[in-house]
Amino acid sequence: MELRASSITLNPRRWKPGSQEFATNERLAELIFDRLVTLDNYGRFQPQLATEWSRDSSAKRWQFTLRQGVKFSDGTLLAPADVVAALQPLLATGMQISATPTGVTIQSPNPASDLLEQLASGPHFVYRSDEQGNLLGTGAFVLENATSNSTFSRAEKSAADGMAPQTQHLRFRFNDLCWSGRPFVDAVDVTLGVPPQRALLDLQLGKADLAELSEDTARRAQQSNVKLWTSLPLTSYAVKFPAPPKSANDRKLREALSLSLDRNAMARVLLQKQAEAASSFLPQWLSGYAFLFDMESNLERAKELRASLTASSPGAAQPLHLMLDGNNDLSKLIAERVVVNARAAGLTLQIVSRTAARASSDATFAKAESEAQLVSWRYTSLSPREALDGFALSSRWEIPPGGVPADADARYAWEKHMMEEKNLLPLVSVPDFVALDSRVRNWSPSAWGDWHLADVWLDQGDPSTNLRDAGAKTQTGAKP
Amino acid sequence: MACPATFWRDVLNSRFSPVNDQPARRIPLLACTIAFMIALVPVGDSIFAQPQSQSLEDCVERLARKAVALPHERRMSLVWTNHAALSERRAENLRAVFAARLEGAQVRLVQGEAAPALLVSIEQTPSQIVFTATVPAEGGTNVAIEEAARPLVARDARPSNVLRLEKELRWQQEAKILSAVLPATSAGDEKTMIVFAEDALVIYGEEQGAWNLRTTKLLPPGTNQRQRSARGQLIIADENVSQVGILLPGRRCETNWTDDSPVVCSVTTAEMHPARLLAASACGTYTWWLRSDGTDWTSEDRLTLRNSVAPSNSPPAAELNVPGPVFSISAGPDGGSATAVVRNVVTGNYEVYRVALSCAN
Repeated sequence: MELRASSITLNPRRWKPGSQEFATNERLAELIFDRLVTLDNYGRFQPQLATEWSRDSSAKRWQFTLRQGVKFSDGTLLAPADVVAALQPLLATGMQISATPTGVTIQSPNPASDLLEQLASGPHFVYRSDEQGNLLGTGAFVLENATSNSTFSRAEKSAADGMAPQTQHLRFRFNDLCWSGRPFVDAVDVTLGVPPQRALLDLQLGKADLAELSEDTARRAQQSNVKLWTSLPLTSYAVKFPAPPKSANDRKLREALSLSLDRNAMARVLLQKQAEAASSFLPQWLSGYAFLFDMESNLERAKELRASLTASSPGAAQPLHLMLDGNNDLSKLIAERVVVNARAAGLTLQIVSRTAARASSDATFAKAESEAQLVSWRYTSLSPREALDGFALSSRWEIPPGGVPADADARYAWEKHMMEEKNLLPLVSVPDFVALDSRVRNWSPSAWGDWHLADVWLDQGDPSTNLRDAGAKTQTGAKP
Repeated sequence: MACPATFWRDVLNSRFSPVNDQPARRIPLLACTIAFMIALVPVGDSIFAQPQSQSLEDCVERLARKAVALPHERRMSLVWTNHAALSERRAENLRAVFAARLEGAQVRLVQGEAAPALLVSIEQTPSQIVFTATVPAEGGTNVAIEEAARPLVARDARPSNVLRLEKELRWQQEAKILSAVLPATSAGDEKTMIVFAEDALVIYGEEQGAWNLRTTKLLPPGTNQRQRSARGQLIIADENVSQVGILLPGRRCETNWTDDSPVVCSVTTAEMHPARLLAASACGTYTWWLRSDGTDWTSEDRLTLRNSVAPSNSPPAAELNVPGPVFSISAGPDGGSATAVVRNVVTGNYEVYRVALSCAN
């Protein structure tokens, strides 16, 4: 399969919340690690390494019974202490996990009614390091090798502590010790850093079975009758201000910019219905209440507010700098549309690339960074509270004592308050796109982006077809 | 050999995810043993407990209490919107609970635009059903939210006793069975069972309550099932019940099970669907889909019945536990039954069941 990310790390402790790389890391980690529980498409938590769980009435104390006889890929038995060592650094601040004779107990200082959602998503994998520092899991695959220009030796891999910083190709082979049974395919070959256009071409030429696409290549794939899978909108784009408004003028500027934005046009026209307009930080599929937020466009009101700005205000006489991270084409496209929308209300915005600003001078960089940024955020938690908490932490928002509220009423109220502060102007949410070769069978991902590759198998079809394809594709499917 | 269009009539595209549309993963003996041991362990009420939400009705009651506690008008019109995988009947029942609670709190619910609208919306997230009430108040609106675990939808909505699934064990063996059918026979004729066992069709006739081997038809060389993708589906043609089709991954085979003709195979792109159509006219005008609910190859499974117009994740109209993962479901000799192949997780045997839809009260 061919992925867009150019590098990965399989160590969940190193994943940066909200980043696109997090999602790629998680997908590949899912091949070799297991979780305590998973969530199925019917909203039911399913046992994975934990076979039973219970909680007290306050939801502060949770007990998990571990599956017996589970082995890591090196043949050692999974012990409660391994789960403790893996999960303790990944759990929310204040949570304590401890081993029991049959499993683990998690104690939280606050009610954690969403603990199962947390454990079923994000970085909460169970793994351990061997003596060489290699990360071992209990999942359906093991990392066989990782190569770039030259093949890494085992020692080099171990030195990287599970990281493959310059890796271009990864090969995961089946784990015969996996408690849930051998996967159908013998191996999964992963090529990293493949641009979506090339990935689509490779898929059409039979060089790949699965290709990660972008919004524009997804449209092309649809037109070419390529089998295409679309997830829920998992990545949100927004204009983020680094701090709460400092003055009434600052507040008016943000209000004017917010009212000038035509999010529906961004989703329907600019992104050709491949995205959804976003009105809140948490998307509807995750919170269930996003529809309560109103982010209507009102150009006339935006113009009125613009007219009342002081002459020296950014966005009036001088441009408001909108900093753009990296060279993501979609971010650039959205940022340009924000500039166009703002201009219609009389606001002047100037896009500044982070790398360009850094190169020009420290003063330009600091100024741009202090004004506004176009950010993308990847949802990686099934817990709305944890998702909101992660974003608030990374944005250095003021979080109430005890964290973002778990209770839906209070969480909604807090999110509403943050939206009214105009620290964040949500724009659109975009799904993942994956193109699949017709021989990929039993593709049954979760709508929130778990691919479940251990369940996929490849149809070898007619033997003559196999001969035809033998030179083009890596034969990783089930053998006759 | 061309296949009549109606041959595949029961292999309609299902609206439901083909949960078991996959080859059987190797089930380690240890896992089976563990699954069995776990099944023997009594599971207390506290396991999987959601203490706050005993039922969706409780959840709606709490929402109503919250809504009443917010500043509100004395006369309101209730607008009830269901965007979750709840049946309309179920949503309507919840609406009645909500309305009763409000009226008990002296809120008069009226119809028409004259009164401000109290909006209640039922939404769904990956793990929760989310109820929101937007309560009109002087100068704006207030919001109350309640959440309930999604599995409560199925737990609360027990299938009615109008529809019932019944199973009858017809055959079991240690060797793998991928699919089986019980073709329709004329009155007085010997009953027949066709079993597809990886590389051969085995045809049995029933005499005095016992199945006797009648003949075995081997699949042509090269069509052997792959070790990890072994699966297949038997289908009886509507127009010619003596013709049996076998759908394999990428292949379609046919033969006449009443004579000595060989099994003939060709390449196909037709997909297999584990769901089977049941059309029992006595059970209303719906078309019913029978499918397995399996998510785990090491535990017991469940057959569920849904009508074809219900949302894909709505609660089933009827359900039936079976003692292991379901390998295939084939159409039965009449519209109201099907044949299911199950691997018993306790014995490891492959079992053939006749599953019938009963409409009696």
